[in-house]
Amino acid sequence: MAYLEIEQLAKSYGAARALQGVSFTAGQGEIVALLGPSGCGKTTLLNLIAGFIAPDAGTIRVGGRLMNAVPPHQRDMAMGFQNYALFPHLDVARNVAFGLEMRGIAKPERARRVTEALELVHLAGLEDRYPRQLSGGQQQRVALARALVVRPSLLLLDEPLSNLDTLLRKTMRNDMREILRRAGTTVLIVTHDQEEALVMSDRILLLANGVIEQMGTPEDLFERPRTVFAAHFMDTANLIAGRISRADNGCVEVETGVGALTAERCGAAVGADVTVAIRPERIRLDGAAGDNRIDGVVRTVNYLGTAYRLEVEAGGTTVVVAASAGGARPQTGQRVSLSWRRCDTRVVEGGGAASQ
Amino acid sequence: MTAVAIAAAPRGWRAGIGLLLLPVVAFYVVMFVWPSLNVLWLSITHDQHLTLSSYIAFFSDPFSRTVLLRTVRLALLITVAALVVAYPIALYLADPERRGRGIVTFVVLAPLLVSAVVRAYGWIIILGPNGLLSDLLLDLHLTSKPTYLLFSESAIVIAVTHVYLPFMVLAIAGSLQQIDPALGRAARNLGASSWRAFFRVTLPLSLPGITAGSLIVFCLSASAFVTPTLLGGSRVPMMAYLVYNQGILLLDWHMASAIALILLVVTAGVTLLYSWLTGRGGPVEAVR
Repeated sequence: MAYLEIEQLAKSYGAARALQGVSFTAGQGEIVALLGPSGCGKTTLLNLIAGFIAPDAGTIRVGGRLMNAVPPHQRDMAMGFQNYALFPHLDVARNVAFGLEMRGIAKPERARRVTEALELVHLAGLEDRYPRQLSGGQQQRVALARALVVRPSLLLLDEPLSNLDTLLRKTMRNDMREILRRAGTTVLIVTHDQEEALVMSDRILLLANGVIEQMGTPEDLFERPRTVFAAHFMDTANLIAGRISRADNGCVEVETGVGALTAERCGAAVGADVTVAIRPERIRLDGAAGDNRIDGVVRTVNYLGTAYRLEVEAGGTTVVVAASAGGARPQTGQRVSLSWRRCDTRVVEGGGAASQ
Repeated sequence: MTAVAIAAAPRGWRAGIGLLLLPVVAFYVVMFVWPSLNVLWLSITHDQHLTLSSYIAFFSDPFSRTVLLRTVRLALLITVAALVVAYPIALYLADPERRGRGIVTFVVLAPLLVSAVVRAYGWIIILGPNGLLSDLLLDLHLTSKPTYLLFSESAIVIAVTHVYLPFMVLAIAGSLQQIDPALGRAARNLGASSWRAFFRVTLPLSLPGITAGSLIVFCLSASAFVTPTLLGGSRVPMMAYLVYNQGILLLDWHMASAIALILLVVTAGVTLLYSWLTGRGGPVEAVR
């Protein structure tokens, strides 16, 4: 049974449509990432659900209760702000206690829950510090404790990790997922970082230009993007335009500029213009993977630490390949035989997409 | 940042900065320090003899004591009045989404653009007998006799509050503008009504502006001369008027100096007390 139900939500700013016909549901305790590039409407969606702005159309329900007309401070949702918005004149304990105080919870109970919340985010002992005396990661966790301590019906996090440096962000996203999991709260996380969405959420809602592009588990979006946009946003570097030339049991053949490619079956009919998406790390250089094979010449080699990123000229186009590091460094000008399996060849909607 | 830049500057540079400050320091010494010491000297001497007779004369005179108390009382009243009037204006000015902020700023700053004498005569027209205020109250049948506010403490409070309002507004607006707008939304989101969000978040965070504005307005109004003299005159004299009276009319420079110093000590004392009350480690800080 769905806990959060969003139906046909729409919002325009003058002539600019920020959000259009957005519908989705989330189960109790589920962590959903609202993913998309800036300007896709994800922050608008969050503010609509929080009640800071009113929708032009559509409904928002939490636990079956219609929220549209409920003012923000009565929605029983907690929000985590991008810059944390900790109260600078209150110490950590008072910051965390703020929501409890506003709900009129008695002092002993308040103190107990504050202690509990600070333990949950591993900040026990820092009760008397002021926000300015804390590191960015600690401030982030105080903000999380302040939001979780009121046991909100819904936790809304707006770009929670974007103010942290790269290394801290990677630790924090694991910590945060663990904390959120233990708190058992239903969470919506706004992010533009696909890796963050993959790591932290149970399901990803990919938004583009105010409409839902695709919704599914992290594996769904990563392995089985449905559109050119989704494939591109999930870092699939190879998008090759083509036309379906044959379909038989279980697989299709797509005629492309680099030759005929075999792919998993899809909804498109023979003759349809489609795009083939292949992830760089699924392509091998030794021609041993089977199903699809093209010959090419290595043009550029970039060392990324975990892998070599190669640009290979093959069949008149450039194919990006991620070859695992550790082996011999591929050389520019080297002749290679690119190959990948049929199940790693995705047919996505939208023809004519140039290889990016 | 500036401090860092200066500290990091080469030695020669720092000497150069010292040299550049020289004219200011010289001006300050000649025009302020020397006369101030002179005033101090005059207040504690009589015919070249050290004596506290001027101070004793001041404090033993009931009229002088009344004037001192009135000055402190009116200055406090003006500060409170300015605070109450200024805060909503500052809130309006600090909200970037409000239109017409330019016009409001101009109206608030306008008293500073008009000469003190002209402004005082404006208030005389409004507050005097058969003035605008009196006529208005009569026409509305709120009073049966003409209201006569001129040459009263009320006239002084109204007019001086008007002049020094800009300092209060700008000080508070400045500190309100530094508050992250997300804090208000965070408070609302955590279940605070807009009133509670204001009293728990906005008001405490604007305290530095309130302190600064109050101190400026208190000190300026305690030593105000032109406006209180024109609107209160000899009927409700304040300290600055006494100084003028003793120094310029009665030519008793010793007494005038003593009164000036008493005023200085009182305003300095109030300033220190207020800073301690609202500053770090003070009782108000502890409450927050």
